[in-house]
Amino acid sequence: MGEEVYRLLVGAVHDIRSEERGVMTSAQLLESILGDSLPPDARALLERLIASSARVSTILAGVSRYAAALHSPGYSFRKVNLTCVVDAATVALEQEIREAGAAISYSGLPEVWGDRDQLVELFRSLLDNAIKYRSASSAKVEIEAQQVTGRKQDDVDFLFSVRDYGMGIGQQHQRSLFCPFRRLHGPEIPGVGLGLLICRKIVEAHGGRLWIESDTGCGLTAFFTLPVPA
Amino acid sequence: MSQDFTSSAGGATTPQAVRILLAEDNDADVFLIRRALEKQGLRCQLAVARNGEEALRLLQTAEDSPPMDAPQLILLDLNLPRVDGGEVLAHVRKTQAFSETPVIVLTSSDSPRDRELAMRLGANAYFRKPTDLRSFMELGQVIENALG
Repeated sequence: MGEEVYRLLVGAVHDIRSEERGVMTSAQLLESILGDSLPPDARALLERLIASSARVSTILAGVSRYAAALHSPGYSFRKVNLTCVVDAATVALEQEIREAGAAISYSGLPEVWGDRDQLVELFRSLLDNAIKYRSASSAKVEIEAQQVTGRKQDDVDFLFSVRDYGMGIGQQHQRSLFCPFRRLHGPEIPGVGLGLLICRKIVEAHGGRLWIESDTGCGLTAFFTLPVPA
Repeated sequence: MSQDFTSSAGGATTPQAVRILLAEDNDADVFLIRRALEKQGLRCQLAVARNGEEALRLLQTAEDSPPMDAPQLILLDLNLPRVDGGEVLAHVRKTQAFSETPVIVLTSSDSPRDRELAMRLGANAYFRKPTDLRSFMELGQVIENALG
């Protein structure tokens, strides 16, 4: 993403977010001031206003993360311990993990050369998806890593997998998985439709590849490669 | 600087009122910040600068005035017109009169880098402006904590 477009996007998100905050908080204040005196239809309208405002906020947060993922000049590369990265991602999702009763397993993850904040976002987003799209019976997520031969003969990569046992995605829907704002579910599962795209952009910025394997009712595994540090 | 402060919570100026400089260009956020101060029960004189240039001017006036007129706390939006909040913060920390004044950075940014930068420039606290009312009112406690 060019610097000019990035600045435009970041500026637009900031300014829209400021105004959206005004809308949301004003609606909430109105709700608290009017309280029980609101007739049911007016209350319903106010609640819809608040819900729409919250949705705008979620969309802006997604766009903001997407812009940051695309803006590779903003990446700061250094040696990063991925066990610590996944720890940070699980802390960020503490409430979601607790409410879902999710079990996240990982151990012995390697060190890589990367941008720590973006790698936290990568794992946070993959884990968030795994939890959101869990099945009724299982909220288990397994993270593993192994060394594999890279694209060029002498290259060595780390291959990571983030596997869940949730709803899965049918083959017929997988083409649109990486299209922005394309979702397979309605508002019953919160989301914007940018998560996997953001993950792919982060991995690509690190010189890797990301793909998924899944089928309906069979969970989903996100695979991605990251170069082994020289 | 006292003529630049307008009384906020508690009505008329009293000796106990805290002098706060708020650098914020968004009217809705100024309203919310005033409300957070009132909810926290903080009596204060609030001077509002609508851009970084105005903030620097108010600080210069304060520097030239007796110490009892200087702001006791600075609430600083990072994304200000004319002169951005980062520059204002750097100036505050370079100026002896305000080098120990608590500064709370206010921002819509969720970038960890912005937080790191603000703390590196000398902010005492970093408050990411939430979208919902109840969370925004937590700013009152953040302010009270910063005042000690």
